[in-house]
Amino acid sequence: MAKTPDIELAQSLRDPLTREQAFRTLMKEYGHSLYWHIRRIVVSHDDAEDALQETAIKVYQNAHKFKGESRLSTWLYRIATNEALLVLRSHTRLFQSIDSLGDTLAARLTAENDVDSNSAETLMQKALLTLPTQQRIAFNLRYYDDLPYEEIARITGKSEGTLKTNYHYATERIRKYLNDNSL
Amino acid sequence: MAQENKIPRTMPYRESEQYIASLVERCTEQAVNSSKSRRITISPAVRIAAVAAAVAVVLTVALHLMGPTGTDSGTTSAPAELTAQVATDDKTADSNTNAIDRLLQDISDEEAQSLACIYYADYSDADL
Repeated sequence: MAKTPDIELAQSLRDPLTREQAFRTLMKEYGHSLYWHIRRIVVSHDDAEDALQETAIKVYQNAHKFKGESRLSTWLYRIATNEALLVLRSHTRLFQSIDSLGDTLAARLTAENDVDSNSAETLMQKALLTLPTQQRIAFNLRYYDDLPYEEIARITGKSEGTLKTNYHYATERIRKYLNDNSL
Repeated sequence: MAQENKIPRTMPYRESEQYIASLVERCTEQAVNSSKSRRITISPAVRIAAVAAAVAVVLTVALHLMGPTGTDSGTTSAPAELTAQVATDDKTADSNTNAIDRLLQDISDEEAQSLACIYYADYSDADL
């Protein structure tokens, strides 16, 4: 489906008369990608649903604030990332880092989802869960969403140089994990 | 990179495209509906007046429950009169308690609705 140009959507979002329709169009065009982006962060479908719902609300409530100074996708992914991280934080205890949730999320991956625990796809997700959260998010945006480093930098707040280095490091680490687990 | 091809790009989850599409639709509807629900706000003046009234009622009840002051010579009242006095006090206390409950319930409902307003971070894209 051909996407509505950002400029057109942005203008419609700012206009109260057309905001609702523009929002519906936005969700139709990006909702699917946003869901999977969130799901890759939080693992659980229920959590992904909650985070997507919050994302949709925040997008609609803040639609009039989007000035078109960045790409719409950048803005949307940023909100979605924040909501996903909030959900992850809700699972941590006081002073516990979300980076320590790797094992918990890996256990959820097989326990809560009807997945083949030995499949390449499952092993890949387990490998990703050994990475620090921000690194995992950056890897996902590059590998699965195929976003340019420039956009990932805007979404995550990291520099392009850092992202490229981390991506290389993450790839090595994932490959090692897959080899160690006989893939 | 040839090695990278070994790393799968598909997800292990079973949710179908159709299911995700309907989920997105549901989220869209709920987002639109959540912003359409009426938000009731209470002006600070009304809120202060309501709290002051509640405090006044609570104080009145407390004073009644403490018992009558400055009575006569300190002699003990006859049991029947005392029972009647307590019964009257209880009735007044009950009546005032009901008034408090009603008032607090009114405050709670409106407070709850005003607190139900969605507060959100500043998601301007100016700094992206």
